[in-house]
Amino acid sequence: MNPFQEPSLMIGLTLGAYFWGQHLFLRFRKSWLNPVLIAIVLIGVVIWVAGGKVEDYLKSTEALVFMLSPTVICLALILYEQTAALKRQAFAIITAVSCGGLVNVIAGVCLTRWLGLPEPFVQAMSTKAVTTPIALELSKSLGGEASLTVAFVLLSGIMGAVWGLPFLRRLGITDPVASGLAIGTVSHGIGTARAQQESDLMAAAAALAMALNGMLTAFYLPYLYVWL
Amino acid sequence: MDILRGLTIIFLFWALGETTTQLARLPIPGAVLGMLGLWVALQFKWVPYAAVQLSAKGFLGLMGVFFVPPSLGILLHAERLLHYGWKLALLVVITSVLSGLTTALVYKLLNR
Repeated sequence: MNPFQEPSLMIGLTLGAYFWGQHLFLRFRKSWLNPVLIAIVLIGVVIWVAGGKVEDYLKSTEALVFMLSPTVICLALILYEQTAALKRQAFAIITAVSCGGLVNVIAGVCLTRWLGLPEPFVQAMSTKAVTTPIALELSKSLGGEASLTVAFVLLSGIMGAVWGLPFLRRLGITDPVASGLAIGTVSHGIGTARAQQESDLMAAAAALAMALNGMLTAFYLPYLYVWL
Repeated sequence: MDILRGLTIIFLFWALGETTTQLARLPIPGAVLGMLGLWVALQFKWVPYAAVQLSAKGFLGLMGVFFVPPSLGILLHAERLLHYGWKLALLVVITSVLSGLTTALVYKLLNR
């Protein structure tokens, strides 16, 4: 029997690793003790030590990934709870998220080309800040590589979730809405999961930024990319 | 019963979003459209908050877990990513910093 082809074991391992990561985070409250990151490292080590195949692990845990979509629907609840608090700043929020998203795309495409990286990387950089399902759709219409696109989305997500808040705090930005918007614009769902550990207001700002940036990018990127 | 009712509503809005994007050929994923739909429905009290609360909080609490398997998928590209190692790391960090700072600062500027 190959344990890596057994969904019960692999999903169990994933839940256990995440649970342990969550426990460490709650105990020490250090930003780098991100449960997603801890789970990735732990499972990566298990796969490596036991000589398993990443492909088998991914196949066995498909059921978990399927749950991402209904979870996106549920973000409506956080948004609804905080609508009253965010309503008055609607203009500032929409402008801030649009600017942040545009900077990410333009800087990403220009710098990646400038460093002379191949086109699939340029394309993956342009969609790295939008939530996975939107990035996949965009990758299709830009003719990019789906799995490389997802890799960049997740890299950007994990990085922002781990270092985003400490970085903003060091610069004196502690406002929950400002930080939530920034982390949601850069790190989409993973950033939103991180913001949930802080406060409901920050989580709502992050969820809103994720949705706004995702939708705006979906609309303009196919046109902007040709132009860049 | 509460959880069942909540799940039904959540999947209904997902299906609604999915059908809309596919029929109208929108570039937006169905789940994101479904989220907006449920938000509007909650605002107008078409769906009572209490009906989805329990199920939705369950999903939201597990959100991070669902990102773990796809993140391990990065390992499949390890060789290619490491080939451009420091350049890629630099690119992701610089663009993320620029983008995050722009968002936070523009918000603060307009919100004074």
